[in-house]
Amino acid sequence: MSSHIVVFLPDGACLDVESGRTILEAASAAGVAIDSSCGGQGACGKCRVIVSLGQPGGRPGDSLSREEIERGIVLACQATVADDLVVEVPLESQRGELQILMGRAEVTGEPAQAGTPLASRVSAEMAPPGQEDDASDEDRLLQRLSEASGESFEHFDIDLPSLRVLPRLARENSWHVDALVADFGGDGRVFGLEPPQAGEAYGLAVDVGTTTVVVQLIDLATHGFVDACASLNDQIAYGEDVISRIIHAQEDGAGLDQLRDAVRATVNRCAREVAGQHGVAPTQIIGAACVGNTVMTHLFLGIDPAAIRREPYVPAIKAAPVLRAGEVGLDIHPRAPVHLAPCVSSYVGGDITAGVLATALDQSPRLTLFIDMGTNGEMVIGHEEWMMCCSCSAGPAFEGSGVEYGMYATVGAIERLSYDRETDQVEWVTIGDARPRGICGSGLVDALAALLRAGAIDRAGRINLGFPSRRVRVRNERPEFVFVWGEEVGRSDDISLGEDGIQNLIRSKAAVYAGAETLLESLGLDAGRVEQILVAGAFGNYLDAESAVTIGLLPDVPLERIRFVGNAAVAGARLALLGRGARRGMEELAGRMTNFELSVVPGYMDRYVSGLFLPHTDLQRFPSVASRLELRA
Amino acid sequence: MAFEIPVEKWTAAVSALTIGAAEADGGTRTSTVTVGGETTLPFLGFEGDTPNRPAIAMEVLDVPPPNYPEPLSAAFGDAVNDPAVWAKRCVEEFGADMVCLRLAGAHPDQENKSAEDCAQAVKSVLGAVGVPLIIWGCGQPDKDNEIMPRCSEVAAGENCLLGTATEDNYKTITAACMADGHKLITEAPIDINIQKQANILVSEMGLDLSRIVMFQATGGLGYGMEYAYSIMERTRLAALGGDRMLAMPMLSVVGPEAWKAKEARSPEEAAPEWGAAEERGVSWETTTATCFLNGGTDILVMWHPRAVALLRKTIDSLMGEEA
Repeated sequence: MSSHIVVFLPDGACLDVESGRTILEAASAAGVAIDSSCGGQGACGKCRVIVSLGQPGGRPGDSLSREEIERGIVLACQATVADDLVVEVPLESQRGELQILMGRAEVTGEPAQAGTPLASRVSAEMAPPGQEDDASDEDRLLQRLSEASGESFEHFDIDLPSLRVLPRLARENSWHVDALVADFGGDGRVFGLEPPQAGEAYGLAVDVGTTTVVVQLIDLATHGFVDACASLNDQIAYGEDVISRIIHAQEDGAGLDQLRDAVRATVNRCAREVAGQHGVAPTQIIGAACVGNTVMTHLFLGIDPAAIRREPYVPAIKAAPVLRAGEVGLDIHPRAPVHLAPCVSSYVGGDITAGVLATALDQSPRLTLFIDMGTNGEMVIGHEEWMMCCSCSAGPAFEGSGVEYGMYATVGAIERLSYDRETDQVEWVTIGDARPRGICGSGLVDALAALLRAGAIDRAGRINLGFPSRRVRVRNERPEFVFVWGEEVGRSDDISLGEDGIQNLIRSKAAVYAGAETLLESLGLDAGRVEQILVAGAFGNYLDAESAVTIGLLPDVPLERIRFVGNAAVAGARLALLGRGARRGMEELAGRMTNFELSVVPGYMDRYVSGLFLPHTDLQRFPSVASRLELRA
Repeated sequence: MAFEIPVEKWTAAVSALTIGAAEADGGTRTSTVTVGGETTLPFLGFEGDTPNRPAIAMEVLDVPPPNYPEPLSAAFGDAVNDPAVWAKRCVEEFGADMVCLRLAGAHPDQENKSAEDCAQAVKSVLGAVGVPLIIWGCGQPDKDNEIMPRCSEVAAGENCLLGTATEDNYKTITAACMADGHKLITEAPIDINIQKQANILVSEMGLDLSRIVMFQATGGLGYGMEYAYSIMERTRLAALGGDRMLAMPMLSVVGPEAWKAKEARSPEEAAPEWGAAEERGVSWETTTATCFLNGGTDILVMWHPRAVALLRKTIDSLMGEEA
């Protein structure tokens, strides 16, 4: 039976699927959650997907119109895999689940980008030695690996620990062993030998964020996403932003070690948790691809980042060679390869390189603005011919920090929210349909927009105490708006948004908008010229474009140009784990990006203060918001 | 070929506003003050109009000022003990166009005077003088929200100028101002964006833009004057360029700021080499005021009578009205 590669967008999950399976089955195997309520009978029509590349088999689905079929729309439960496919899962067909949340990102690269993984488990059946065949065990294995790997590697070698176990392992298993092979820049290195089929092989895709660390567990055999775990970075104990971390790294000679230990502990904790839940032993994890901003990359490796903060702001390293897990301090197979995404500059890091790779901005003919809303807001503008990037300090508000009921986008976080002034009702949706625990980034964007639309806050973000709703109240001398009454959901307290949190959100959105505006104006570009805006970040499963424009987070462009691509950094890490093409692509595009230093632009601060208003002090920049909210210019 | 002065073509004008209501308009003022309406950068007569003279307001307090420098005590004598008497001297002897009553005594760190006490002070000053009145709070937001509505109420119909509404605290004073038919000062910390934001916030409450006077916190000579100056200049450029949210007349608080400088207020014994104290203080205040006049201010709040006289002379000459 033949098989085909199927890539699901926007998750970017890809896997080999046997011909004849339905797209819905393939999605389920890939961990992509598609809505379907009729059990795959083709009746409910909820599992509509768009096949953007390749010819599916089966039937498109009886309920579809001819126009829809011409646009490539099929019902995932009816269409089958008969070709390599790229399948887009539109928002309305997605079923929100945690796994999407920490991995979802649009990947428009070719499926072929998979290529040679960073590490793989290769089955090697060697011919036994004899009188006529007196090659050494080592040569015997290398010979077999060369044959098995085709053109993947020009050269192989075997590390000493593997050589030490080779003679006995080969003879005990009738000359059949599994070799763990790492890709060291084109050379294959055997870093472990095991009995055949001793277990499955997994890899980690790791996003080391200033505030949040995300670890994904990937099945290296199928390229499939298994699960993810997220945690606050333990380094937060030493400061909220990268600058305070750099300062801490200088302290008493111990600061750097403390920071390194903290981030390693966070990553290891996440890895242990996600692997443990799936019965995966640490030694079964045989490779890790990590991405982080420049400071996080330094601290993760224990390299002094001091120079980043001082003129002329140069980092100690931009790109690291492929390292060993043991020397990095990751609790996986100790000799497993660890790849780090290359950085562009002191303040534009490997997370951006990974994000650009995952969104294929560098291959797009359309002028694209890519914004990664992390604690450090980084952005890239450009297309296939050129790219400029910059970073601004956005703060962690959209990751839920600095907002009383803010939280990271995980189960129980309110990710969508709307408020009806007439009925005084709040509609909300939580991740995983769980009991609400707080509000994540996307929910906070919705909340701010809802309050502004309703007139419950003024344009400076202050709560209107005269607003005719009992949801507006003063608690601990702080005005706030209650979104969820505790008694309705079995909580002891109410979920609200207060003025302090609102101010932090406004500061964050102002920093991002001012950064984008400065970058665009320095190039003589108007926001209207941008053909697409891709927003990445740990907001949640989605970001409402209209809400984001209403609060002035994003420029006022036609809403269909705005797309939320989720955690693009970790999606890039996953691609780097799975394909040499992606790893080389990162190096190449990091070298192509031109860094633009916002701190030397005199107008940045002015633009920032101008952005500390909803949507903005200068309403001419937000004509659609002005007319929707009937604001006076 | 004769030299031609390059003339900038502006598309918009600063709005004009009148403070004070005469009997015909429901008040009791014997004079009113109209400021604003400029269609050019300050005093460029060849380019546009400066239809109204910048106005001089003299400041009086509702309590005797603590630590008043000697030249000021000497100028006003016992008058400082009664705001009505003080205001009367400012108008009748020193020719103030307006009186600015600052309710410093209401501040919790001062005498923590009640709203009723403050309202009495407003009434007594209104009764003592016929010029328009600026009523300025104590600067403590919560306390101002307590006293200003009452002060506004007792002055209803007099078309006073109330201060100040900030981005953080504007609702109470704006509501009072609208209810009692006054004008409003919006204040920002030397920041053009925040100034604009404050203007938008009060206008979104329904206060017409033509009822606003802008106040960028003033810096005295040697203590931030150039920051305030450049913000005022930018504000005027924005107004002339068509930004309606920044097209209001501006106000500068010169006296208190200028006399904060040690160069202005040090007694002679402390710094004999700096010369006579009164000369220093008056020069400092006059220089600061002249600078802001050139930055585009429309109302100057002054302290020393001699500085007022010098400033008036400067305004006469800039307006081409020299005797």
